[in-house]
Amino acid sequence: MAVISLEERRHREKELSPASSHYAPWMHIDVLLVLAAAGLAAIGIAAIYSTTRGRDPENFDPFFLERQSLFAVAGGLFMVFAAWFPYRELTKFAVAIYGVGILSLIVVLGPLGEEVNGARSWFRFGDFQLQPSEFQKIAVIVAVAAFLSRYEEHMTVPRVFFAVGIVAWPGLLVLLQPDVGTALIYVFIGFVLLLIGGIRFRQVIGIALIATTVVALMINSNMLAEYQTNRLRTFVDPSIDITEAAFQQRQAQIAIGNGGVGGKGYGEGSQTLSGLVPQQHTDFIFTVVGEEFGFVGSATTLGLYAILLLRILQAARLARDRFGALICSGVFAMILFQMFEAVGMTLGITPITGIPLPLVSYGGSSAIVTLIGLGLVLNVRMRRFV
Amino acid sequence: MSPESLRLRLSFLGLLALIAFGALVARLWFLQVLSSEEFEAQARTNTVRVLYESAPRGRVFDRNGNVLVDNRESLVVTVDRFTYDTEFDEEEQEELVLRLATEISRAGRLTKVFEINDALDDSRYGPLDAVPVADDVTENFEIVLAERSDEFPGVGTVVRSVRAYPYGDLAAHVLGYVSLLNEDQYELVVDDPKTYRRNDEIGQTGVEASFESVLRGTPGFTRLEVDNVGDPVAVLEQVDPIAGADVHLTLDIDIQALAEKELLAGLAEARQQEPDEPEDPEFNAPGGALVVLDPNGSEVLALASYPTYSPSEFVNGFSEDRWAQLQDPNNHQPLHNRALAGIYPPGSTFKLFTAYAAMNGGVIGPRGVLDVRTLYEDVGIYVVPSCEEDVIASCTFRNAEEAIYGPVDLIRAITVSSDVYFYYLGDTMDRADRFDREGIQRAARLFGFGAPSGIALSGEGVGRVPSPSAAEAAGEPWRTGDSIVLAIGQGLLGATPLQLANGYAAFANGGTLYAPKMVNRVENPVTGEVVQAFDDRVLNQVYMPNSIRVPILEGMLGVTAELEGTAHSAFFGFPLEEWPVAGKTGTAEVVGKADNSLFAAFGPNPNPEYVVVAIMEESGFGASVAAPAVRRVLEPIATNSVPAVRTIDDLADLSESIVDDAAADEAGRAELGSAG
Repeated sequence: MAVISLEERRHREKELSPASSHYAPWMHIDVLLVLAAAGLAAIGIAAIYSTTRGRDPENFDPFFLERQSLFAVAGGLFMVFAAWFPYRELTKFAVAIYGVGILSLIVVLGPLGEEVNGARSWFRFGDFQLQPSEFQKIAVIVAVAAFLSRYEEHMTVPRVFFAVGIVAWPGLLVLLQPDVGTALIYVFIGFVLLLIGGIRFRQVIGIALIATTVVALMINSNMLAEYQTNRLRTFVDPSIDITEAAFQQRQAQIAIGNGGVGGKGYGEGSQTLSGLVPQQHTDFIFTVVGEEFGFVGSATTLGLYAILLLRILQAARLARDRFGALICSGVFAMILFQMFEAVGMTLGITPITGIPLPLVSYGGSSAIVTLIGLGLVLNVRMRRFV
Repeated sequence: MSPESLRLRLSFLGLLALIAFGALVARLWFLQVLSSEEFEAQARTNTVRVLYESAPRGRVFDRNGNVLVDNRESLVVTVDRFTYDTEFDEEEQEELVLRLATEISRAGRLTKVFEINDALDDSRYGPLDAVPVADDVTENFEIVLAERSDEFPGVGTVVRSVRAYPYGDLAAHVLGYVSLLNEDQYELVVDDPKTYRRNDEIGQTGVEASFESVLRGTPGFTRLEVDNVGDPVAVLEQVDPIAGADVHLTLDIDIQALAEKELLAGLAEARQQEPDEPEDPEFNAPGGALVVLDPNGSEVLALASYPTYSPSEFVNGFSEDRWAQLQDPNNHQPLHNRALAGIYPPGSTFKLFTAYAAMNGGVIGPRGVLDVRTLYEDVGIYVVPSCEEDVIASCTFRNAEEAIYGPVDLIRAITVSSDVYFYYLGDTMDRADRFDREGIQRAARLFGFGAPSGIALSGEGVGRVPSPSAAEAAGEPWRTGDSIVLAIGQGLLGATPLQLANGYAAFANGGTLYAPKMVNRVENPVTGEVVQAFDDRVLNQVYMPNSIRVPILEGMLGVTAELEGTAHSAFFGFPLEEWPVAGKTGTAEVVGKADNSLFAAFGPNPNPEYVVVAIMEESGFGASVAAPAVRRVLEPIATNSVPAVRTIDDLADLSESIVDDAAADEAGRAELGSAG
């Protein structure tokens, strides 16, 4: 038998039967990733129902349950689309996607935008609200990935600055809303993409220095709303005052501690029932999981995130090209950062910011964007041979 | 970039994720496994809010059912601290406080900005509490609040039950006052079944303090399940408050008013006197006490102490300056109840007990150095026989005012108050071998000196009975001179006005020493059922045969009735025929100050119903100040014409009706005029 190279074999098999081949994209759909995502979405829907159904057992309110289920289904469709669309084509649209995103971030600051909880972050369409800063996360990932994938060799300083600029513009616009949490997500995505994109160690140090200076200036200037500086200060020293933030953080920790090992049981959490934890169906959703399902449930949830992130990292490693690897890394960064922050703040180890827990928190924009990101990861993984 | 480099960098990303997960799981383990019990406890109390409803405090009545201490409602303005702290910045807080002070003052209760700020800083209230910032606000403010509630976010009103004193400042020392408990008091009552909270009031002095456990009601509470904004969603448990029990005193408010009035008048008279010599101390008459007891059971009918204070001042609290003023010795400590805590040398009023000691010990009697009727020559000076100065302290003792009474027996010695006669008794009892050196002391203790009288009021003075054994214990010498001055109630001897009155009561009733009784019974305020009744408490039965009692009594009756009696002029015109008064004057020397003026009396004899003791500081002779005051107390009692005191409300009504009458007269005249 003649020895043939791997490439040759792949080529032959492709020639022989493209549709039924082992290398066909649909043969490499990451089922585990999809299951983990579905599991998290299910936990999210259950938790949202627990905290929003109201107190009257005769008359539970299914509003949030129905809507989040709808978002999950819609998000699923977006995920399928994002996985189906050949991802390499995205490089052509990267500038357009990014541009539309920036434009929407500008427009949302104007009269068309709607202010909720002190931040002008939303467009309203009838019963639905859309948060352009969420979608911009994907736009940033695609744009930076497209830019960095053009250069095989190590980064030059101007290129690093260009990549930082791609992240910085939407970041600044989001800060104007003001929404520090989302801006921080952009920063982390940008950092991870530069890291994977091949930034040098000394460049990392330079960026870190600049970033520290900028953040310090921002906190000392009046750019942040008072409640935001309060949150940061409260995090640094929880004893300073009973501000709203300290109250929230304490209530959140009581809820989680109250769960104990086995949890209080679904629908039985007293902190959840009495609505003592603020924003519990969105940013503080993890407190419901912690109180009602206990350490077992919390650890299971974190386990599903671990599976999800592991599969994304694997997809990045397996990716056929740098663009694919960078997209997966960007999605990895987005989910890791949001999960760490949204869980961490309920545990009192990170400051309070308005960041949703991916797939679990209530919210259409967040669910759809996360699922689009996962769709792209599926896309990269299943097209690793073609 | 090489695939190896990419791989390395992705591994770094993986490591980052690992660290993040490690941190989260470790923290989860800490919260949910290690300290979950603590958080579960917090969660339990978190959703439950307990609203306390304070119970009305029991009332205090006098022996005739007049309400002496009542409750009234006070409208209190509160500020919700959570709203205040979280919803306003500093500037807005200042504005709100200014607006609040302005409107409360405009509504009729003057309130300063700093008072509200101080109240808001009160550490007794938690971050979620409504803090009271102004008391006794008028209803007008409630109207303002209702109309302009949006200008006063977090501001509310509550009605608080506070103490009311229908007779004003009368009997202030007996009744005492209530005020917020301090930290030490809180520690003491923290486990009390009648749940105290840090912003509760507690009886501080007088009946309010001694009967705190009776007067205090049991607070009710409602345990509510609340939601995140504190709105109740369900009532878990409700317990109604139980009102405190009523205390019925033995006090007679009419006699109390009389006693306070005459004490005040007596002191004012004392201040009018001029010292005999310019170098003599002035009659400052800064304070005094007047006690009226019923000797049959030692029921306290009146307990007056001057200077006095106003218990209603404590209702809404007052400034530290005012508190300092009340404590300042230069203001003669108005909160100090001299009637039961002031310790004074009794002076010649003590001769009753020296006489008893001498007769009971056999110094006076058929086999004693003198018999009752034996005459002893008072030459105005007592020279101690075979005197050694250092053993006796002094060899000569004189009568007050250098008086010479000539031949005196026991009865006349009491009537004219011959010091020389009693010096002789004191010397004899101290030195004659066949007598006990502590005969006077033992008699004094039989009549209750040197020990708390046992009245149910806290803060009672113990007094002092000096004795050879006590001196020895203290390492001091006891000299015969000490016994000689003890015989006339001077020296280190000290007694409270109440002790003195109680000793007289024991003599008056024929020898039974009772613990003075202040409270007749405690009643359930709703049913009127007697919860606790107080019987007479006998402390001591003093041996009192007629052979002892009659001569002493005769001498004391002479004090008011005989021409040469020391209080004869004070009782001139008193109906002694129908209501014989036995008494004894006292003029106690105080180093560097004018003499204290004392008078102790009881009547009507032979079956006394009233004992009156008056002590007036720096006021001069007992005969010239205290005796007339006691006479003015006894005379209305003897003639059954004690004026009935009116409550403040009655007085207000009265003055209103006088004005109305005058207006009606005016109108009537005008009508007549027009008709004419």
